[in-house]
Amino acid sequence: MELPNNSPRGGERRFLARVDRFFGHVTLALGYVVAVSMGLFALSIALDLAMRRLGLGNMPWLYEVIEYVLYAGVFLAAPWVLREGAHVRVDLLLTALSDKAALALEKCLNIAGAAVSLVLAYYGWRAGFEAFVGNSRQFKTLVVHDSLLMGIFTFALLLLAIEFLLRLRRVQETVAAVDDPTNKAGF
Amino acid sequence: MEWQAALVMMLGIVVVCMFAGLPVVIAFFGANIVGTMIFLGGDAGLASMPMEFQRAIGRFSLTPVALFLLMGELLFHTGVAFKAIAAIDRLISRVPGRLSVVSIAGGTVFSSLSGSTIANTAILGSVLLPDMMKRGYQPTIAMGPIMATGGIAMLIPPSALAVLLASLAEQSIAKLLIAGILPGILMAILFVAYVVCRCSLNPALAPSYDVEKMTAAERWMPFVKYVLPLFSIFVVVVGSIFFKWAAPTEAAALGCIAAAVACICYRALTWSALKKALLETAKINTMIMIIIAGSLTFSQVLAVSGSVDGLLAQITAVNLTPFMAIIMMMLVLLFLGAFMDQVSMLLLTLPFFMPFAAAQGIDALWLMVLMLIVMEISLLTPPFGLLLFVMKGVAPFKTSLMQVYAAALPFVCIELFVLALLIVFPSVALWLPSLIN
Repeated sequence: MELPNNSPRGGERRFLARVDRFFGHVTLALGYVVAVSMGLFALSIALDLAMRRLGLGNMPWLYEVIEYVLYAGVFLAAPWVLREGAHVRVDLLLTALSDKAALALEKCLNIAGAAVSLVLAYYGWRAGFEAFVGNSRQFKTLVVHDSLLMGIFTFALLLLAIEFLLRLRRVQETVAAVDDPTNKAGF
Repeated sequence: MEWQAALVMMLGIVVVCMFAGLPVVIAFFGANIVGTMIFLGGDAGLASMPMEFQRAIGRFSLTPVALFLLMGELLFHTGVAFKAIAAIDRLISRVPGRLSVVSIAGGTVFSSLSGSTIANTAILGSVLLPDMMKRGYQPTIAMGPIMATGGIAMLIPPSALAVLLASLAEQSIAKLLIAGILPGILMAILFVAYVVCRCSLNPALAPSYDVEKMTAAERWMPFVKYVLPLFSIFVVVVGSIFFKWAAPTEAAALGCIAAAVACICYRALTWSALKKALLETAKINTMIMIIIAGSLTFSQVLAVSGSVDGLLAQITAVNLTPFMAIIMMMLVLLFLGAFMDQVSMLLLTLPFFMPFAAAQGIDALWLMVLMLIVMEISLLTPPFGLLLFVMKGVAPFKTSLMQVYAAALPFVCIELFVLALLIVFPSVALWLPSLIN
């Protein structure tokens, strides 16, 4: 439903639509970064193997870097995957319900998703803060601060929560369009 | 809390959230939050949960999942796979149900190059199905083989799901990859036999047509040009594992490089195709890995709650024979497979099945091959078999979901037969990996 330009709610909607678009670009950019990392995994592992087989030494830190990038990539790409509608879900109930009931359920699901993501983001932040205060680190070939790992997690879960809330907004827009009398009149 | 109540509560939260339509990962995360608050010291347990996620997926042994997916996506988006299937098409002539046989042969070849069942079905469906429909093939004989062969990618290496299963079960990835080869080939042979027999008995299912007259060179040259070189990818991956030249992750990386080189040689690797392949890989890998993050913590909570030990003690008290135990586990998986995706059902059952199998003295490698076959079957079982929906997506507009279900049914029976065969004769799966001891 298009509201007049001078309507306060119309302005709010346009602002949220702009935020939604911007957020889409951010998540897509993260998706690209993670996608490139997949290609780099293949190249670097093959290079490491070739170096080792040719007696040129190897990159002892490589496996650890890949482990950290794999972890970070999965969480950072999660909001993009959600936006693409590619997270695994069983839509048995959603498809069985009427349109209106399905939209109401979808709203609840998005609220639940945002709540779970926010709880995890909070505990990620707490774990990161405690790790920072305690100077907790992972000692392998590389020394990595736990606070960095938790910072990435917290950031990713916050993005996930935002995407759930934006999905909620998009569902509400759909509900508004369904309820719009001009729609029913065929305008 | 009694273990029964804990089990019902934890599984109940996941199942209810999942069936309500929440993304599976959020269902697991939600159950983890509740379970950790109750069984793992509340606030302190929750604060340690994010680090558990890092330990769950920050594992080098999980890297081949992404790399095997990338191999298939590269060959898919560059169009190289389509050329290979067209070359196989020229090679097969004068067989009842010719195009169905082509789909099985082409699908099996592509299974040896790709770790993705979805890519396999999508390629075969989009390349061969329109031609089959045009030539009057009945939906049963047109769609069935395509869907069934799509699932073979799960068994024949490189298989992303086999890597996942072995890695999570903390078993040899190399052995499981090798163990899938013979059952996969056996399944393909049975599919071909079924199609040929069925079409011989009832030619109306797949009307015969005159295959374009070609010289031997015209028939074989595309095969030599587009299929034989691609086998080098399979040789690189399986050979390097079999001869212990490379670990599975390294073999997967070499497979990606070999796939990219093949695409470059065919002048098919464009920036656009590479971008699509990488993005699809990132998407599917994220989708799988994040569920693993959620479900591994879920397994820990289940273990701490006493549910796993309680249930195992209860089942052990029944005095099941190993044979009955295997049958029971397969029935549970078949039931779950009708409603759940492969990764979720794997992660839900693994915490129970692996210790249970160890207690019963069941060979873990054998059990994992059987699990792979059941997961392959579950790709085709209604109402939620994934490949049924992939096929519905690529099939002509008027094809109903019931037609797709009916088309899959005979092939589900063949897969059940292979499953039974492997239960009775474990050596079909265990002989090849025994050679790499």
